[in-house]
Amino acid sequence: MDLKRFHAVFVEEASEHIENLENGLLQLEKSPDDAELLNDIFRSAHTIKGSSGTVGLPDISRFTHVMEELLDDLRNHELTLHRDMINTLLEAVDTIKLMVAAVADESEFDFSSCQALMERIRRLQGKAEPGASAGPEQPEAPAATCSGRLFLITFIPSPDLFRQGCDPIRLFDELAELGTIEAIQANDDRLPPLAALNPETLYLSWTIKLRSDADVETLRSVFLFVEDDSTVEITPVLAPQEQLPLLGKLLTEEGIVSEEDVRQALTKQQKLGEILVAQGKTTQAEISKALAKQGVQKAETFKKSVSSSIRVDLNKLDHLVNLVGEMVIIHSMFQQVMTEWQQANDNGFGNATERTERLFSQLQRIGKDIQEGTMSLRMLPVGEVFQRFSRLVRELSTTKAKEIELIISGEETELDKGVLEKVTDPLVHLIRNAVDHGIETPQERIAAGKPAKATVFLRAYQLGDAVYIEVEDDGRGLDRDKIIAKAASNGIIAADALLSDDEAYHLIFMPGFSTADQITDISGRGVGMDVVKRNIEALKGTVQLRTRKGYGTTVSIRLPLTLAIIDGLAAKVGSEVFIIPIASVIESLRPAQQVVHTVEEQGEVVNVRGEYIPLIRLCSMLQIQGTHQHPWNGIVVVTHHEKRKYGLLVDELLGEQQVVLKTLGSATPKVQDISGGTIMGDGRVALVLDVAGIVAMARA
Amino acid sequence: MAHQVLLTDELTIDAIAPLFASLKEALTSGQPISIDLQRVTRIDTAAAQLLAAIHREAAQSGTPCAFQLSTAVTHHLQRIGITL
Repeated sequence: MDLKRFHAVFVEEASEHIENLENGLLQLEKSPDDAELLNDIFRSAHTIKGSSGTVGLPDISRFTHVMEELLDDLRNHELTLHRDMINTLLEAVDTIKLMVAAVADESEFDFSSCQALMERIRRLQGKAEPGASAGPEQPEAPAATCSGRLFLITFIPSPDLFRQGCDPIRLFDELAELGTIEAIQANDDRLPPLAALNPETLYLSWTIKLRSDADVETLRSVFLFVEDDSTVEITPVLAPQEQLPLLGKLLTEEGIVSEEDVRQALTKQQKLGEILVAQGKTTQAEISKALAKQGVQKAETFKKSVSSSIRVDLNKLDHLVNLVGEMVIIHSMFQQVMTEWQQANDNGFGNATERTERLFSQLQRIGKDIQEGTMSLRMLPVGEVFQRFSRLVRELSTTKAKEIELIISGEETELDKGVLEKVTDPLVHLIRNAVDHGIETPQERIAAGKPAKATVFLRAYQLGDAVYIEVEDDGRGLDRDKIIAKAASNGIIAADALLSDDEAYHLIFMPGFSTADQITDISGRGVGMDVVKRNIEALKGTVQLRTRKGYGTTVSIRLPLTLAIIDGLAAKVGSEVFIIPIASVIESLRPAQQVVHTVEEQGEVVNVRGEYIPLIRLCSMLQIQGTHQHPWNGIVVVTHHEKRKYGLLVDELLGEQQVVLKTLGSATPKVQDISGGTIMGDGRVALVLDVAGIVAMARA
Repeated sequence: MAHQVLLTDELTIDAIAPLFASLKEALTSGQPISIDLQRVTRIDTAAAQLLAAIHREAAQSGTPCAFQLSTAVTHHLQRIGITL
């Protein structure tokens, strides 16, 4: 068996654990007494060790083993954690990263280069002898939970498992990590008399009772590498209150069938292949052929798509699969009703009309759920990226001899995967800037009456239709005079230019601008803020800067949720239809004549319950002939942008609807006030307004 | 006089042949068998399977068969559900 085909899967899995190790170690430095955290780190190392061994990568397995032993001693309180240990362990994580990277691009890794590091780890452990390296015997991870469902697992392995270099104990260890093995029994029924036995053939089979929170698929994935030639049966031991699938639940709730009926029906559920064979549509041989092909295709796509794949929360996917199942059922119910319609001529329509309506509304609900579920698949928590910055800040603060704590919040905020990837580099720039320029040395800080330890905040939150990511430091803040002087000397502004504070601070976003007196390896080369701004703008986002001399700087990035489907308010301006994203709409109203005023230098405003809101006439902004001359004949849609309200004047409201946002294509130049186009129910094309862009244009 | 089998260090599939030979020899000796694994530092499932085989066969033929286990061996056997 060629184990190479599993390498892609291994790389993916290992990357996850490497990240976990790295973050865990950084966390552990802050809270060295957190036993659960240490266990978690240990489990990650243990899994990397186990799975690398299983897929035929003994070097990684051997290396991780040494690391795991040190972690184990820490866990058993035989050693006490110190900074040097964390440094060495982080170095080890970096080495594992390199080894895994070498597996990913199928290059050679020089294992002898790890010897020195392995030796250092052993020395930390108080063991210097190089001989004691290759033993996988490790005390079990303590039984984590006693909760979860009970599964009965029958495992009849391939007789060739030993020859494939796999010891089944690794599988059991993996199972033990997913739950608690309540009982394990090796069956020796197939074991021949000693004289007739081949010691390299595996005769034993196992039955295991496992209590776990995981689902069958997760448990089955443990056997992924051996499943081909082995028999694995995983049966959940059903508790009485076992959850029923969605449709079943609905049907029982509405009293159509009993729970028992559903459960019985479920046991009769057949696989698609079996159904087709039973119906005579195909033969078993053809099905097997297709399944084999499917297997090959799966392995191939795994190889190709590792970098572009996305990890999806299993719950999201399960939910979607359930919904699709429901849809299929309703589809067949529809078919039945259609048949009744056809027969209706003879014996009246019966209740077919009513049933059609009900089915349609069910279908609509499912459609909406599927749509939402599908969109959410692309969304990832920003924490995946944020966690990496802990390491960055830790390392930067060491090299810069500054004491800095990074405080992360809002990790659970979700952002489109594509956006998240592209926002990482700008964030690295911003954090480096904060550490290098923003934060003073401890001496300077103490002299300024601040605590020696500086703080950098990295936070994310969602507000309306946008996600905000902020990098805030409590450092020295921007120096207005220095910026202006620098810009003047670089010829960016005239020497006598009068600038507002805001304008002055935004000079740092100009290309080729840097005020750092000293160019360091971290930042100060004058490439940075302009690249940050450009990258964020490419994502249809904006960058804002707030600073106060002596108190710190905050850079705030606003990113649109960039969902391809948005809720919009369709509004008519002249003969054109425009969509205003509902997330930026507060209310809409028809103003009375006496509440519309013209204020000098501010243009028209409308008084909404005592609040004066600037009025933006969309027809003049978009240069369209409007239907109504006076605002009191049209409708004001009150929108918000950056905590301020703006009234958009339209001629008529057509209602709320979901629209699929399409980009206008590369042939169209970027238009500030339009974020895209969509096709309406009647086939007409409508443009989707970008409220932020409109407000910016109106202000200009 | 029991037939003594003394096993030490690592019992793994890489060196399964000598282990296999010594267990077969013990079984054919017709004497009670005593297998000393106290100095075994590491065992794998392939070796454990052989121990299970001799244990079962000795029991079937009524030959007394005693094992002395090291912690490494006990631990491995527990994890794979073999009782000797």
